[in-house]
Amino acid sequence: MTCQPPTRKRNAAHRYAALLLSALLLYGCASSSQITATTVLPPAVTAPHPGSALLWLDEEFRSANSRPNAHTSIALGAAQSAAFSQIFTAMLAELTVVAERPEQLAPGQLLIRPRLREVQVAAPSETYLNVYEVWFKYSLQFYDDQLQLLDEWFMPAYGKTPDNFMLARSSAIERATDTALRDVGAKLLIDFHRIPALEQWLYQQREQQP
Amino acid sequence: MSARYTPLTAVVLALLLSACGAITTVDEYRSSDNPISIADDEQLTILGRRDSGHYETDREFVDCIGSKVASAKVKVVPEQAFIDAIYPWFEPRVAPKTLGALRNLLANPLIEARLNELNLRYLVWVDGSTESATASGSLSCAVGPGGGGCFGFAQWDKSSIYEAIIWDLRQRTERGRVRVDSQGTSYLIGAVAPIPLLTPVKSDACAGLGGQLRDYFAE
Repeated sequence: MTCQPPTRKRNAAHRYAALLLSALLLYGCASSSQITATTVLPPAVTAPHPGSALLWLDEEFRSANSRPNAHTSIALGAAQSAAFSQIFTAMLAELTVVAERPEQLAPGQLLIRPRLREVQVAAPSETYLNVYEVWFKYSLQFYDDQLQLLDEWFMPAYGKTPDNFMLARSSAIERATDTALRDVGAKLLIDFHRIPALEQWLYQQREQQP
Repeated sequence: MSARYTPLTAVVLALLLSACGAITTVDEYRSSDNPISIADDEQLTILGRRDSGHYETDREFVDCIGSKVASAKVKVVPEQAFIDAIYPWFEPRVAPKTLGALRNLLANPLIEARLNELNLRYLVWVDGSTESATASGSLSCAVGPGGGGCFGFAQWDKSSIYEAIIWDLRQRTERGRVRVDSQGTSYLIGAVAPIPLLTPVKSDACAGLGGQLRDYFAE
């Protein structure tokens, strides 16, 4: 039986520690960014349009967890549901938020169903720009009171960080996501009158007003 | 021997430090000779332009100008507080870029009422960025069993160019423009430990622009 001198034992321990540290560092470099959007939009300065509508936020929308690439996952469900509810509540005189497709609508009522179609993330290493960028692509489906699809409107939203200086990847994507969700409010207010089916419905609501 | 080197070291250090000074030029333009007056109950806000694709006017710079302009007489509404109060009309996508767009926006009675609630008289747009040129020189750092260190010399130029445009929300006109251009060179000397000698171009630009705006409103 041989006995190793204490220095050799120490060297072996150092080698294992170095190996473990390297493995941890490599794991840290390769780990994915998991972001949960927590954006809370400020109250919108806008006058509500006449009319009654249902905003249908289904389970897929409420619990959306997007994976724009292999290293990034963004839990958008709660923040985007709150953002759409808040903006449409500010824009329409009567709005009810529902989780399930309604059986029927009241006469003249509109059903609005937003859907998250695509999420893209770009990092400085991909674009050679000094910013992180996030794009969302939503579609808004409008149904009449017979639950017939009137129109589907595609709406992009965009957000970026001011720069990437001293920002961790996940914090940068979180900030860009926050800006993109704020952009949803701006885009909805601009687009509201550009959607032909919605403009027609608003015209009918104004005509029916006493 | 060491006494002979002490003054020489001091001179070299003084030369290096003096080389780190930035050259700052402030230009101003006023649309009229009338003073820019602000009543005690009125406020102003300073906003950064964020609609460009490749740069954004950074918030820290806007905050820095705000802190230079604010005084007992001049009240400044913080940028984010203003943008939230008027959401979403000053988000990058929809913020007015021209006076014509501002007049269209203020035609909306809700928006005009919100600005009146804030007693907002002036809006100052700040647009610009700080850019660094590619570094020249050579600096290398190495770590070995006996220790480590950096050796060499690197330098790079930085330039801050910003413009502030003052809009009068009551008269719905432009009242003036101030442009600041600050340039300087920063150095990194590797003498075992890396010694950075940074030129404060951005803070000089802030001091130049903020000081000029403060004089405008303090008249």
